[in-house]
Amino acid sequence: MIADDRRGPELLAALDLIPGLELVAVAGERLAELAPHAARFDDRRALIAQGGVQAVLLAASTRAGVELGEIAAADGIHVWRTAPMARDFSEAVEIVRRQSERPGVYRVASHHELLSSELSAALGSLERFRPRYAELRLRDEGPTLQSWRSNQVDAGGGVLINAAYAPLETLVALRGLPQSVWAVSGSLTGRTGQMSRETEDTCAALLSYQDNGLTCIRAQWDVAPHERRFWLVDPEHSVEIGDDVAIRPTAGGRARHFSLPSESLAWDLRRFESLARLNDVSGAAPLFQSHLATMALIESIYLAARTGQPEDPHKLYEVQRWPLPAE
Amino acid sequence: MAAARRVIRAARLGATLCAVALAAGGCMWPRDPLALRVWAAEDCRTIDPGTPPALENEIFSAARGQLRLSAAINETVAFQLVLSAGVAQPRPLSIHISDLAGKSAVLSARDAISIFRAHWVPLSHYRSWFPRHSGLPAAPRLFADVLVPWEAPLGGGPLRVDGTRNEIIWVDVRIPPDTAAGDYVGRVELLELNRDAPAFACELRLRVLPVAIPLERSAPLICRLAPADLFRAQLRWDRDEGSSVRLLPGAASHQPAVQLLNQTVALLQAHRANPVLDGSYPKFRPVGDRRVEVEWGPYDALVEAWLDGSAFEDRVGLARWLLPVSANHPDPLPEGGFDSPRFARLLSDYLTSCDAHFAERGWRDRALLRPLPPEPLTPESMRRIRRAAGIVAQSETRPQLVLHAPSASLRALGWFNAPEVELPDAAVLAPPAMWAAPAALARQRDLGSAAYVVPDQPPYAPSLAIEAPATDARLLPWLLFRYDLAGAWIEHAADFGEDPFTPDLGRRDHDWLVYPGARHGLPDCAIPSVRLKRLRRGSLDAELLRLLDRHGKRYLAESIARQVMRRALTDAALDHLLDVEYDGWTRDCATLDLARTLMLEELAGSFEPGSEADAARLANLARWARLMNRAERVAASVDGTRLRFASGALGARAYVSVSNLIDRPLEGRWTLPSPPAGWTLPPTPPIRVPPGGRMVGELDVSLAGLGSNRDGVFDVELLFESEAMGAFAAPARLAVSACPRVDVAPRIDGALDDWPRGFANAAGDFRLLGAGRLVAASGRDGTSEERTRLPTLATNAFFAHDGERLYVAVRCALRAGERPVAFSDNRLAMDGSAPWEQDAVEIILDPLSSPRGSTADLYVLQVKPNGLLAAYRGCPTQPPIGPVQPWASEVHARVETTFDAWTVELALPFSALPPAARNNRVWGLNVSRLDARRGEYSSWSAARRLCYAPQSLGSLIFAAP
Repeated sequence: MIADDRRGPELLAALDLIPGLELVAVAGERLAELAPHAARFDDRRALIAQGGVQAVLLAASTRAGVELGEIAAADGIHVWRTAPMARDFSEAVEIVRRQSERPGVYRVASHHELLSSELSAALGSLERFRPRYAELRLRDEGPTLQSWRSNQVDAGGGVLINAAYAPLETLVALRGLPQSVWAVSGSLTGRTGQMSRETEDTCAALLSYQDNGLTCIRAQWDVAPHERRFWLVDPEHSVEIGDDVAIRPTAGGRARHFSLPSESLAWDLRRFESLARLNDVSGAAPLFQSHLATMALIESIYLAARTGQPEDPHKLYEVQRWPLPAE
Repeated sequence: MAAARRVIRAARLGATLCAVALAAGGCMWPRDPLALRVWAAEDCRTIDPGTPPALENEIFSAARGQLRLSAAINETVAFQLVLSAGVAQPRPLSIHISDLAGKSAVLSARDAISIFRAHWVPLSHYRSWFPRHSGLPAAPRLFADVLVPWEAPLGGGPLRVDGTRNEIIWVDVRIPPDTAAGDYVGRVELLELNRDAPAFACELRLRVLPVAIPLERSAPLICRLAPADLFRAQLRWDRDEGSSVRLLPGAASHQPAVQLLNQTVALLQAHRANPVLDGSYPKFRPVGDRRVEVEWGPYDALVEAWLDGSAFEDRVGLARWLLPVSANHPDPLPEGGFDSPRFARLLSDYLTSCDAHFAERGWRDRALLRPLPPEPLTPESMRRIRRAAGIVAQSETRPQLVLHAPSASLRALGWFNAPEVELPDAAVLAPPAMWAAPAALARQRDLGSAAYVVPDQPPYAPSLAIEAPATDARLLPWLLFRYDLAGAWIEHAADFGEDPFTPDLGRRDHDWLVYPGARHGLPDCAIPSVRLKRLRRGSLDAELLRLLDRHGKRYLAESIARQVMRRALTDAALDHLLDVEYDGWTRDCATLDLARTLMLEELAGSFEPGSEADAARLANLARWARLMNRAERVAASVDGTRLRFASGALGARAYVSVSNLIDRPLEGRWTLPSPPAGWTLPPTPPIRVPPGGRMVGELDVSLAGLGSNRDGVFDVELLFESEAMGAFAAPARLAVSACPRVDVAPRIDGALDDWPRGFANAAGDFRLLGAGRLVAASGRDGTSEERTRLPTLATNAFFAHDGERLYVAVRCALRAGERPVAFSDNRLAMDGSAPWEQDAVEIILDPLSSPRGSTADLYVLQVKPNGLLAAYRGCPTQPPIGPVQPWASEVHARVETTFDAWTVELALPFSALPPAARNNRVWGLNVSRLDARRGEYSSWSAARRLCYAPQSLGSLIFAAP
């Protein structure tokens, strides 16, 4: 396991719930303290090269995750990583391109897979749920200046790619990619005189779809009160995803609430473990497409914010000569 | 007394302010219009002999006395210092640029600054693309192109401003690889001989961004270097000797030639080009058993420093190199000719030897084999190409075979009877841009073969010709990026002919990139052209695009490239290869500089992210908007309007098209917002134009009647109203004239005084093809230039018939005393889709009125001022876009030239046309005129792209018998 100090303990706890995954080696001082029974490597690359591991769990910065994942995958080691999949769309495409010729399982954790199974059960079927309007409101505590999330090279972006990745993955899975994206972003919440992060702490975007649907995204770090709300509205249902999930008839009526499993990491690791045990490379592949689409959306939002022009995420596929996602 | 004191005080204050301004680096701007004026301009700004001063521009502020540049590490940026004066200046001026001081380092002027003096080249002969592309008349004019190093013994500095035209000093600022990012400040001064105070001074502020341009060139600009012209001009070698000589670096007699070649290769390489030598081939002899013995020693000694990079300052070797093989080496003649098996065996054996040697030297990967030069596309040239490819295929070698051929037959692009194209899959294609179909090249690339392009002429590719707009040379590397091409093949980098400083009268292509230095006292040097500098600028721009790509911003890079280079290659062609728009790329230097600035700042933000970069990005939003919201991305046009009778009702049919180069579908509908009385356009259905697409359509306008009109033209404006991008105006012209029946036919004698008038039988108000010519326009911000489609000289035509013959008279106005341009020969040259070089009048007939027909349905009469008449069934274009054959028209024509006009009068018997023409009351007809002196090609129907399109003709209504 290779993880940063923030997510290492969480990942270790999740790992305890999966008997099929045995921790044999860790990299990093903090992890070594928490997992004294595992071999300790100071050099993360050495762990992959000499650790004798069959799978590697990566919960480090996005840049490190991509680089170390590539080294491990090239050695035929199964890879599990936390999202985001990459720092930009082209890097994500490169991962998928390389992985298509490799034997190991490569999984990027997916919040949506867990959510969709729960939502599907609650709504009867997700096939018919086509939200015409969605709104994401996210206000969260921002990372410290020293965190890799504050570093553009390590993270590829700020609040949008790091804090909003999971709901955007859900949005793309349920709604497909928008036709046009308008956005603004910047480092706006820092106090005067303080050093600011390299990555953006504020991002707002409007997404419009072929069927005239609309999504509104607002994401901020360092603004209280903290909030994580995601509404998806179709003609019949209004789904609100926060700490739990509430489903209401759009026209009004009583809400049905259900909670998401608290061990979402463990759920994801369990999926990884079953795929890796069977070496089911094809089973891991569909998730790539969902992550690619999420990366395309995120990059087009960043691009629109940079150029002040509406952008179409499908263009990123064309530029990379990658098949467009099925809508 | 008090008043006198006030005057003295004011004078003192003025003097103090002047002193402060000069001390602060400010430029002193004389009020006297005759005095010396100096200003700086961007490297891609066109400076003519009479360009007025631009005191405030993107890089220069006279008010602040500041010249601002920004650059990446490893980049070379340039500016032009322009000097003008109303009278000859008494003293010569020298230039001094100080070291540039930064916070922690100094950029030494000796290392970083190179200074040249620009010299003017007179041109008087052009190709037909020139006026349409540039908007300038095809008249004799001067172009600043030769760059003489300031230190050159002749023609360098110091310079004297003679008061007749601008003088230009070109300054290169090179940012060495070890330069630290930051701001650097220095000073530019022009000093008069024997005077301490500078005649001009300004501060030079250079901002070096934390972005480093790679030394390696990503897409090579291959410059074929045939040294014969250089050797002749510099060393006075006989041209044949220069072509065939085998240089021996060890021989003293060859030293000047070797040195000249070394310097020329280094000059091109320093400008990021990739010279390849086409000459000085090694000596060889067959030694039996299919073996060839080659004397590699002298060849290797000549070229190895170029290939390993040790000959160059940046130590970057040439990425591509030509195998020493050409159409004449080995010489096919002694072996029985190109088609003989003996020659095939010899070439194959020689190739094997070359391949083995290049492999041994580690040069194989960069080796290109180009067996044949670019030739006109004919069945014979394709046969020769196939033959050469076949010989190579039979050899044991697999070199990168470069073929100047299209990837598929050009019939699909409208080239009538274009030869079949069957080429080996592995060939590296390097077609002229006119033959380069992007989709076909992409397929070729997907199969693993590289695709190059030979830049030929606008609108297919930016031109490298001297007369091309200043941005063209810069845009060639943009074209490569835009279409994902492996590189460009520049065939005539040093082929400047007899005298490049006053180019050959007969020569029409002026695309060499270097000049001989001997004239300026540099016998062992070639000297650069302004275009070579601009080509380097473009190459550096393209590296920025590729850096964006490498940093995961491919889409951003492509978006920028698409804004700048909207369409080229065969994308420039609409219905066929000659149906072209000349709006494929920007001609605005500011747009290119804006794109470069945005790329630099985007990359600087990637390399050194932070709040400063973030703030810069926010500040750039307006610039992005300027770059990305260019309205040229949507073009609505009326390609022709023809009169029609449907069910007895009079109407007009407009042939419209909408091109959408934005990346989203465009929806809208056509309207006629201000219809003339009696004109009605019923509501039109909405149309949806896909991204990158073009939609053509027909609009039927009902007409209550047609009033009388002196010129036979009805100009209206249609609008394409889109939801997303607003409304786009599309001017339309219905050209209609009557053809009255006369009892007494006009005498065909060239004099028009016996013609019937007042029957609405006239045609006038001709309009130029394309966007028109540039004219000065006065606006609130001063004088600027805008395009007008009005020709300089008027043309009028008149029609009549007598039941047996159609009579046409055309009066072409001339400037008083000016003679029409005509050679005393019996040919009229065509250049593409227009007559060229000599004045001409054309009468284009569609007697069966088939606006949806092809060029084969048209009859064309061409008359030039010496009376020569050419008649065709079909249109005599080059290349042919339909069947064309001589037409036995039995036309009787006379031409007369007077003091202020030349006139054509002709009689065409109806019997020379299909019998159905007699029964047709409305013919399609156009009259066009080439004013060769100005290169202005205009027509009555105001055809926009092509006069030979049936739908773009006017209409001729025959009066009832």
